[in-house]
Amino acid sequence: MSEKTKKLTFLALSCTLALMLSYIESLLPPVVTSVPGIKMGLANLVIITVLYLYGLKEAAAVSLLRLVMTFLLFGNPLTALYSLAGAVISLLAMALFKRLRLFSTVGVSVTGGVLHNLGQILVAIVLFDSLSIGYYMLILTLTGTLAGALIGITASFLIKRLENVYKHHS
Amino acid sequence: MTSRLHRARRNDILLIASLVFLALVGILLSLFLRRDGAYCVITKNGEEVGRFSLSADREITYYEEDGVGFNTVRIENGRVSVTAASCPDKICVRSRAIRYHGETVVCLPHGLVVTVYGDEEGPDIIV
Repeated sequence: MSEKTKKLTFLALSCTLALMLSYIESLLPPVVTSVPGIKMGLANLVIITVLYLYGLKEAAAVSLLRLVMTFLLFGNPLTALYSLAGAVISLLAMALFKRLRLFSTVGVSVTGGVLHNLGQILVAIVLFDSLSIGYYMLILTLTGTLAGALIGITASFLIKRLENVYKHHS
Repeated sequence: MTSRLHRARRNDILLIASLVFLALVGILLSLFLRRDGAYCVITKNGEEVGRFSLSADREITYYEEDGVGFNTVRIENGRVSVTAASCPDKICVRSRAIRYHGETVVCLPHGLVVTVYGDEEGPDIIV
């Protein structure tokens, strides 16, 4: 199989996986009912894996396609706006932290998790014109860190096993 | 190579520890410094639609522009909560009742925010 075909199939599979993981996650009961936004972020497992195996461009493509598909399937424009803000800021931060080479997959994933929450809270603050929503960031930092760490540990196993097959050689 | 991995691991732990520490300090501070609320302000898409004292029990329902979607806000025993809503996720309904200055209940799908405020700026409260 040519490198190009392999990459295309892998990215297509990643899109589907990311979509399904976020759908499955939406079916699970919320962890803490009184605070919105606490979640595992299972889709980020796929995004961070693509980021490590291919790069920012590919991870962004998978992430955006997942968002578009979620929007088309479950269509809520407001939810889509939050997801977009979280996804963009978290992916950019992860790409930056990966490039810094200071942290392993776990640190990069933690950054992504917390920044995802931050992006959503910032959108909420702007949309609602209410600064006190920012208080949620305290508890979200805690849960985002823990979720990000778990996702990062899982992703490091995935990447280790997949990189021999999929890592692009440029 | 191994030393870089080692350093990265240590940095990971430092990052996680400092984030958890900062969040915990922030949560403790906000618990410590919180003060009772006197009234609540309800906004829809950033515009104020209601302002009520917390000392009188009442129930208000806010409808969406389509006349079907709604959020019911209840004030009871000095606490505010959203008791019923037509939004898909029901996060606002599940949120616990709030009573301290700065606390909010948010309904993202309907753009509704209930915020509790302290007593220093209350001349135009409807009692």
